[in-house]
Amino acid sequence: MNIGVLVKPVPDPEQYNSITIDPETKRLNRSGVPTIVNPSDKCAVEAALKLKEKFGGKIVIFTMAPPDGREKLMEVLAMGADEAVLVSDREFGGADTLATSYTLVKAVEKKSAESESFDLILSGNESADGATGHVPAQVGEMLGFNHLSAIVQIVAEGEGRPDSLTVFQKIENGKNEFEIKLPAVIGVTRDINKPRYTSAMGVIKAKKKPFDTYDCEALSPDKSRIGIEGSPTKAGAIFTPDTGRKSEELSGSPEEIAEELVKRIKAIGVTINSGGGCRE
Amino acid sequence: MSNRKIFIYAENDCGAIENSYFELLSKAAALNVKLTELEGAPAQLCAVTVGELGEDSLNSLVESGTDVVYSITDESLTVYNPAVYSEAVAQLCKLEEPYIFLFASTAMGTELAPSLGVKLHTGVSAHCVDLRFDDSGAFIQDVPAFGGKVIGEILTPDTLPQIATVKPGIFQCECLAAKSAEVKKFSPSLDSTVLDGIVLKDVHVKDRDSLPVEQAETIICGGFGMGCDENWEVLDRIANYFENSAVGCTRPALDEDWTDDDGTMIGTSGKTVRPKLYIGAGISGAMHHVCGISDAEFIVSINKDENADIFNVSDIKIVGDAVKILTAFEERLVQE
Ligand SMILES: Cc1cc2nc3c(=O)[nH]c(=O)nc-3n(C[C@H](O)[C@H](O)[C@H](O)COP(=O)(O)OP(=O)(O)OC[C@H]3O[C@@H](n4cnc5c(N)ncnc54)[C@H](O)[C@@H]3O)c2cc1C
Ligand SMILES: Nc1ncnc2c1ncn2[C@@H]1O[C@H](COP(=O)(O)O)[C@@H](O)[C@H]1O
Repeated sequence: MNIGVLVKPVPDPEQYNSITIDPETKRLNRSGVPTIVNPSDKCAVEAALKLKEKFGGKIVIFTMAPPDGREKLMEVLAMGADEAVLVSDREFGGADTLATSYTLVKAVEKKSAESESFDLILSGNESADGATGHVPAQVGEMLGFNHLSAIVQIVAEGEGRPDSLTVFQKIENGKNEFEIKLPAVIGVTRDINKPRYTSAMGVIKAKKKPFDTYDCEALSPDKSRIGIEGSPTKAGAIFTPDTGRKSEELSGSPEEIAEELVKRIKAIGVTINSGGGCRE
Repeated sequence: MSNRKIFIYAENDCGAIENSYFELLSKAAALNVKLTELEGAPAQLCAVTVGELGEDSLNSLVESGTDVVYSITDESLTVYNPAVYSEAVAQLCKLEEPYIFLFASTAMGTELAPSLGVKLHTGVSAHCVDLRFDDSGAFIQDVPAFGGKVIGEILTPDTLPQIATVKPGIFQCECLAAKSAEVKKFSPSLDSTVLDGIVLKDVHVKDRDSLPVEQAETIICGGFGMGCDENWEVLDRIANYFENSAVGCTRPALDEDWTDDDGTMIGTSGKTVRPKLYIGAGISGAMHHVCGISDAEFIVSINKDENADIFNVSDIKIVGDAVKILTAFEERLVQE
């Protein structure tokens, strides 16, 4: 089973509180926030590794990012992926999800043409920074593959390479169970698994694995569909929402605090039931 | 009325209309006020539904305050299949050429909207927290980035429809003046290649015995600072003292299995809530969580770290051990 995995480097989401907007330039200031592999993309890699353990085949990672994306790809190769493709060119910059998906699709198609075609493309369900969750669906549409997002479980039965997979999709009040024919694109959420750690051996092996870089020329894309130019959505102003509140501190012993808290709660018109147990 | 059409996707949940439709319709009606100012005439508000609807549900759409109800039906549309649904909706769009198309960013909406973006070669904005027209008539879609820390304005200036998904719970439902919408039936032509790629085998609905957090008036929310499983139980006991209450959680509490109900997670990838009272304990205040509670009327936070970010977005700050404070609070509630 040949699997492509879409992986995006993102600023570490645990540190988004320290991102600010420069009041002068109106630009984003994210200095000091390290770049990591998008959390759900690691889960996509893990899901790919599990399928490979069962069915054999090859895992190729695709990343569209500036040249320093290479470092993150090495991390994913160290987890056990077989090959990496860094899609990188100034002309790809400023892409929205439609242009990003198009560019990734061109890369997937180029790789397929050069070696074997893919049975499955896995991606994270959403990137931590932009978090649109559009890319899996849009890549699926453009490749002409079946596609599903928000997948929390993949069941692959039988021995040989499967024709279809049973997948569970998270919905508002439970799960949809689908059978999806391959080739397909599947976006997985972080609920699907716990990604493995990289071993020292993995890091050493990663250095010897095939690594391609595709620039704009290599992909010969329709120029009207890439980068800022190819993006139907345009970015306007950015601002930080004002979520600030007065943060009045209650102090004293836990009992004194509890006493005051009950007073405050009553003051805003919330009733307290005697004896508890009145919840629906 | 102008020729412009604002489409609103009315999600059909086993024959009933999802509440998110009414939230979107309320916003569309507000947008229409501005549009009337700008253009001299309002746009047509159109509900779009796929699959058979019960008579009551269809009526609730017809009387919701919309001008037109497009009902897309076909025997292949009785069961949800994202590939077939998006194809059917795309065909309607090619015919009717909507100006704006709004979806809820539910599981279904986040699959259909981007697929439609590809089929119609247009832009899609995701998880919008506000929508408006500026004075030049540009449709501005406010989209959160970095977990909600930053809001970016998105515009789709050159292509139509301008597609946006909106997180459920962001817009409030307002009852519009009832009028009887015109129902237009639409039958798509679907060939077999789209039909059998994906098959819905089963729907596993989770029974819940508690009130959904998004409907709760009081939320007692626990974070990683609750420490362990046993400590978690105090949240439930405290919630019991409040009517229409629910226990909420942050991501790490789910990861630790202190609760197994992922429907109670609040934030970017969870629910948006607007309770009267929110009490959070052991929560650091990551934007991913905070953006889900910003509409709460009154926020009380307990954290042992006096510099925790959560305090900046709280009405009441309590510095201390979560369990100690909550236990004292519970003991005080017993006396009520
Ligand atoms: C794409 C993406 C989406 C996400 N979506 C969501 C989402 O929807 N909802 C969500 O909640 N998270 C989400 N997260 C995770 C989010 O970034 C944070 O990691 C999470 O909200 C932190 O939860 P927490 O505050 O419970 O834990 P922590 O950040 O670990 O904070 C624990 C806090 O408890 C305090 N504490 C420790 N011990 C005690 C004690 N004994 N008494 C009192 N206080 C104590 C500490 O001082 C600390 O402030 C998302 C992350 C990503 C990448
Ligand atoms: N630039 C990119 N390079 C590789 N994969 C990407 C890129 N952007 C998005 N993806 C993939 O698409 C998923 C959803 O991203 P998004 O639509 O941006 O929320 C991510 O989790 C990645 O798996």
